[in-house]
Order: sequence, then structure tokens, then C-alpha cells
Amino acid sequence: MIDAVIAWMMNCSLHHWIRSTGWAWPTFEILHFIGLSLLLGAMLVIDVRLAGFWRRISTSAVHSLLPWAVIGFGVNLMTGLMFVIADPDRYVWNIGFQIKMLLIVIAGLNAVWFGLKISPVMGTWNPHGDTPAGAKVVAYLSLVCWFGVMLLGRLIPYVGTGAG
Amino acid sequence: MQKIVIFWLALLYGLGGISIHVERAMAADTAMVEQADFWAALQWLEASPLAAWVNQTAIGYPTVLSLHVIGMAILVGTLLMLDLRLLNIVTGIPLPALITMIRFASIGFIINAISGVGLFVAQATTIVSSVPFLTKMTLIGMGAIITAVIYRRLKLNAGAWDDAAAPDALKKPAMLSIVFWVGAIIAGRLIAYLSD
Repeated sequence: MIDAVIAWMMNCSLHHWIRSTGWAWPTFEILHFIGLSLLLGAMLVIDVRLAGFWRRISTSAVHSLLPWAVIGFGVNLMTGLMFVIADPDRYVWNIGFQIKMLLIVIAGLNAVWFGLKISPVMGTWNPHGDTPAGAKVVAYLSLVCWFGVMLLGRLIPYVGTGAG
Repeated sequence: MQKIVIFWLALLYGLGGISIHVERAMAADTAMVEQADFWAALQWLEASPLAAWVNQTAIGYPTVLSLHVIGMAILVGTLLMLDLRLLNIVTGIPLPALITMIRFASIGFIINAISGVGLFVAQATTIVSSVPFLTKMTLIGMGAIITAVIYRRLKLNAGAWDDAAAPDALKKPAMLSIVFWVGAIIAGRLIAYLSD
């Protein structure tokens, strides 16, 4: 199944275009770094407030940063897909890449939990006060996941393949 | 303001020009004493224990690179959110809180200054004449200046501006901040591709 996906990627025209176009890879890397800054920057401010710090900012105000996290994530999903399509054999079996993807899934589930359980009751909090323990767990888990995602991404060239 | 920026540009390109000149002079074996000293200093850095740790141990380079990307996310990520607030694209965050955000971002700056030294000494003699590297240093210098300008104006006026729409006076600095810091990321990424 995974072999079939890799074979398909190796045969698609995008794969050949990225590999034969000198500026494509560096350009996607630059976009990936800018997307990373938007995503991490927005999540940092949101999570720091959700963890109970920076009480001068109301809990609802940091919500206006969420679209920027989504934009950053979108940019990195697209450019990340380009890297994998261009070099599937290198990424798919790489243990750093695999854990990175796992962490993204955990961060996503954490965000869903936030949307379903935390966000609807935020209106009842003191907007400039401390946050409940449940919110703090979500905030710290989010920070650990996203910084882990970034770290593992950076380490992909330095760690071995999961296949050994 | 413009004078400070021009000074930084002149200083950094001056340094870059000297290093490129030294390289050529060395090749022609006509180096002057000060130039040779400058070159010797770079070679000494490259032979330092820190450079050896970065270059020759398995964990050295990945560790320094990881710190550099963490610092970048803290520094540029936080400042981008601040710039979006100053441009009124993001609303609701009171302006005095931006002072705290700049202080927080400076943690990222410190991490990257330290990890950046590690990356620099590891290849001091080659990176010093890399055009993307010199461009990156210039942009960081200008980014630091414009961030200091924003910080000072917020400190002086934040009480009066609380919760209001950001004043027009901070819009141009906010736009410049985005240009400088994102530009530094772009130039930094290109070091690996455009240096020879």
C-alpha cells in the first residue's frame, strides 16, 4: 500500500518538475519556514494566554490569531507535500518524519478537543483572569506538539530510516 | 532613523567587502598585514573547540540547528503576530501587551545569537564572504533597530493607546519589521544554496 503510494509519487509529473527545477526546492523551503513562523507564532501567543499568562490580553482576543495559525499550517501542508512528492523514499521511511506526522495528528486532536470542550465555555471565564486546569493541559500539550513537530522536521536529515 | 539604517548597511557591506577582498588578496599572495590578521582570526575561530564540537561530533550540528529554528519561531513568530496587531489586521490585543510580546521575542533573539555563533565559527572563513549571509546579518540589524523603535514608541505612548486601533505612526515600522524579519529568513535559507 505504502509502496504503491511511493511508486505513484515517483511517477507523477510534479515529482519530476520539482526535481528538475532548481529553484523549486529552495522556494518551498523558504515558504515552509515562513509558514512555520506564522503557525508557531500564533500558537505561542494563544497557548501562553491559555496557560494563564499574559492576563492583560483577554482570552477572547487571542482567538483573532487563530486564522494565522491556520494559514501557516495550510502553507506548510502544501509545501510539505511537495517535499514528500519530490523525495518520497527519503521521507516516508524516516523515523523523524514519522514521529513528526504523529505529533501533527496529536496536535490536531488536541485542537479538536479545544474546539469542542474548551472554546464553548471560554465566555464564562474572567477574560483577564487565570484559566482552568483543563485549558492549561490543552495549552501545554499544544506547545509540546508544535515545538516537537518543528524539532523533528529539522532533524529529518540527521536521523535514520524507520526501516533500519 | 534612515541614518541608522544606512550606517548598518555600510558597516555590514563594508565587512563583507573587506572579507571578499581579503580572499582575493590571499589568492594573489599580496595580503596586507591587517587583512591577514582578519583572516587569521577567522581561521582561529574555525579551529576553536566550539567549531570542532559543531563540525566533528554527531550531535553538534543538529543541536545548533535545532536551537536556531526554535529561536527563529519564537522571535519571528511572535513579532509577526505583533506586526499584524499594529497593522490592525489582528484586533483585540491591547497595545501595552505588545511590550510583553517584544520582551518574549527577545528570548528567541538570544537563543539565535548564541546558536548563530556556533553556526558561524564552524565555517567562519567561507561564510564571511557569503552574500546571503551578509544580507541576512544586515536584515537582522535593521529588524532589531525597527523593533527597538516600535518598543520605545509603545513604552512612551502605550497608556494613551490602550485597546484602541493601532496608531498610523506604527504602521510603517510594522510593515518594515515584516520585510526585515521575513527577509532574514529568506536570506538565511539561501545561504546553503548561494554560497560557494
